[in-house]
Formats: sequence, C-alpha cells, structure tokens
Amino acid sequence: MIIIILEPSVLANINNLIQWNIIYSLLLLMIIAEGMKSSGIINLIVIRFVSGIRDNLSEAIMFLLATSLIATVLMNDTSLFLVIPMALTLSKISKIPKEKLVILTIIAVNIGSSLTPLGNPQNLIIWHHYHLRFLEFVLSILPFIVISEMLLLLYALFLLRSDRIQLENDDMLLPNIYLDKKLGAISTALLASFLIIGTKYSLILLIIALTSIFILKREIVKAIDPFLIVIFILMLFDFNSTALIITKIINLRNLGPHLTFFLAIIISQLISNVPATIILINLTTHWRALAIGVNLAGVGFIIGSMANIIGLRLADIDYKTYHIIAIPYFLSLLVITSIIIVLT
Amino acid sequence: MSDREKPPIENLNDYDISQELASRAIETAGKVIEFIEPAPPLYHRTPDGIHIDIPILYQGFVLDIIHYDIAKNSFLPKGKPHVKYVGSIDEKAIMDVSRKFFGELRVLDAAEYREPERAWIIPIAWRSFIVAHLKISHDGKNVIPDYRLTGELKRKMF
Repeated sequence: MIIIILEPSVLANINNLIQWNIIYSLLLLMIIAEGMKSSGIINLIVIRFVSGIRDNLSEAIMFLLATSLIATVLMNDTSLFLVIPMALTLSKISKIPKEKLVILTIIAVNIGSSLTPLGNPQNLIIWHHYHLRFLEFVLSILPFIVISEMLLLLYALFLLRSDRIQLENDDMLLPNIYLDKKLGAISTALLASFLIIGTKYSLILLIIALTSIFILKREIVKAIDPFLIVIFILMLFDFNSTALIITKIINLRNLGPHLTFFLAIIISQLISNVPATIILINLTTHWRALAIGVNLAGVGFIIGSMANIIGLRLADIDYKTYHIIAIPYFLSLLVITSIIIVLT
Repeated sequence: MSDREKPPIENLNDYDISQELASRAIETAGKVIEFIEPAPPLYHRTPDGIHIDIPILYQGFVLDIIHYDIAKNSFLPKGKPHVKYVGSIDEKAIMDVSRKFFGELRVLDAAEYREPERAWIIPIAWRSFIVAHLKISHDGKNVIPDYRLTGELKRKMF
C-alpha cells in the first residue's frame, strides 16, 4: 500500500514488475524438485555415496559432497527437506553431533544450490533477468563454488576432528524408499526440457508438468504451497517497485561490480537474499557479482536465506547454535571472496 | 490406491503371498524404526477438542503420524485423534516428549496385507497402544511413504 501511495504508476506497470515467467518457472521447478524427491531416486544416490565407508569423518565428507551435488538440481527448500532427515540418520550412525552435521549440511545445500539457476529462486531471477545461457551462468559461478566447497570441507575436517571414530559395520545400508522409476524419468525429462527452452516458454512446460505429474502422483501437485507462490508474487511486486522508487529518488543505477557484491551481502543480511536480488537486478548489470554476493549471504545470518529455517526446524536446532557454527565459515568465505572480487 | 501408486513387484506374482515375504517386511520395518525421527507437530482445533499429530520422519518422508495427548503428554492409540484441552501449545515440549517416546516404539511381529495397495502394513506399538503403521512394499524390501502427509509437513515448515 505504501508503495502504491508513493508511486501510483506501479499499478499500471504491474505485469512487468511481477514478471510472470519467473513465477511460472519457480512453480515448475518446485514441482520438478518434488517429483524427483518423491521418486526416491535422490535417497538412493545419497545412500550409495556414503555406504561402504568405515570412517565416520570420511562418511560425513562424502555426505556433504553428495548434498551439494543434489542441491544443484533441486530447489533449496526441497533439498533441505530431503537431506536434513538423512543428516540426522547419519549423525545417529556415525556418532557425529547432530548440530554440527546438520548445520554443515545446510551450508552444503546453500553452496550446491548456488551453482545453477535451478538451485534457488535468486539464481532463477538473475538467470531470467539477464537473459543468460545455462552454461554461461554455471561456468561463471563455478570458481566461487569450488572455493566455497573446498573451504567447507576443510571447515568440516576441523570441526569434526575430535568426533572421528572407526565404524564397525556398514550401517548406512538402510531400507530404501520405494523407487518410482516412472516419476523419476518424467521429472528428469521435464528438468532437461526446462534447461533447453529456458524461462520463455515456462507456462507451457508448467501445464505439461502439472498434467503429467498430477496423473502419476497427484499428492506432489497438492504438496505445493499456494501461499508460497503468493509470497513470491508479492515479493516481486514490492521489491521491483522499491527499486523503481530508489532509482527515481536518488538516481542510483549502474552500480559497479564491487559495490554490487558488497551491497548484495549487506542487503541480504537485512532483508534476505531473494528480496535483495530483486532490488539489485534493477540497479546493476554486474550479474556475477550480484549472484556471488546474494548466494554467499545465504550462509551468513539466518535471515540471509529463509530456506535455512526449514533445516533448523526439522532438526530442532536453535538459531544461536546455527550462528556459532555458520558465522566463522561465512566470515572466512567472505574474506577470501572479497579479496578475489576486489583483485579481479 | 490407484494402479499408478502400486509398489513394484519384481519376479513376484500379485497373489504370491508368503510367510517369508511377511517376515521380510517385518524385518525391514524393524530396521526403519531405528532411524525414524519425530517431525514438528501438525495440529488443529476441532469441535471435539485439539488434534495434535506427530509425523514419523524417515529420510525426508513422512511415513505415518502418531496422535498426541497434550493434556497427559502421552501418545494416543490409532483411532483416537482428539483430546479436550484448553491452553497453549508448547511445540518444543511436545518434541522433547516425542523424541523420548520414539525410542520406545517397537514393531509388532505380524503383518497385514492390503491387496488394493499391494503392500504390507506393519503395526507399530508404544507401550500397550498400536500408534502407527508402516507400509512396506509387496516384496518386503522398500518402505512406502505417505506422500500427502509429507506435503502437509513441508507446507507447515514455511
């Protein structure tokens, strides 16, 4: 309401501000992620990744790598919902304190999801707004992901060094979730189609996805939260309008890469990384600095990425414990990335 | 359950029901309950009282729910979902109690077979109550989640 009072012209521009293709794409990716998850195939991959290892520290490292890998193709909320219960199971088997393993897993999901436009909403918005090719996006972000992942593994080795034990037998061979091959194949085909055609024809693909997955397993379509979609519509409207007002009042446009990076981190820590992305895409052309900044902010304070709350709630871990473990990693990554950004 | 939701049957006839398959399903359920976790409670108030359910979480899926008696801080048997209660709900306290009680859950040594779903239903007991069921595929190897409840829990997480 405040925005409409301050700038009545936003109402006439509502379709451009909401960017419906982003909403369709987001909904599509949510359905695909749920389809892949419900097929049971992801559980199978993670278990294969960690089974057969007799050293709990190596098992945890392999689990974090598998988690990051999965998060590159599933939306971050779905990834967290899937891997946090698996982290709890692994914590029981490997005798690694659940707080450490769950928080490291949350960080691993954030890192993995940063690599592709499929991993989280902020990447999808950047990919769509700047009309980027999929590979162009991935290759530009890859160095940041390699650094983040290596730092995470070093941090995990440091954090878990005192919990190291040899495991007596291969207990990770747990009963599998029922494998729905048809659902897995359709979800993968939809994902591949989306990568080829991009956000431009996402409505058509969304209709195909809704129909095919509803026929195959209607519970998946019902599991999508309509309020979440409404929140994204409101976010796009509100924060695009805010950016419009900012540019009119203080004529802030064409931010340089360094300022984009640091503003992305600061704004994300105040209002979360998706709203920060929506504001900053209107103010900068330096999409790489923006993507790195908002994704890096996702492992900072809890508000940096709201999806992290899912992980903490599922594992019943308080925010204080999260910050004690996550903030040293965030600050280390921030220092390294800032030096690289400033020097290049 | 429709045809599309039926679990896989590998080298098995639809009607190939045996004591061995039932035993395998019970054994699988026994392995599963070692690694289940309580998820944050789902609750709503109804004219009959308050209805609190604790989802049973396994590898990111809800397998079933257990009814919770907030007045006595205890589990309720299946089939008795509500209790009369006026007061606030402390989710943290419910989770603490549930986590303790989950350690007391045990698999009963017999299985029911549901022909339409082509699955074994294994009862889960807490003390002298049957509180939940686990659904195991016809071949006794895989656990079949409740996809509707999984979606409901995910919506609650936001």
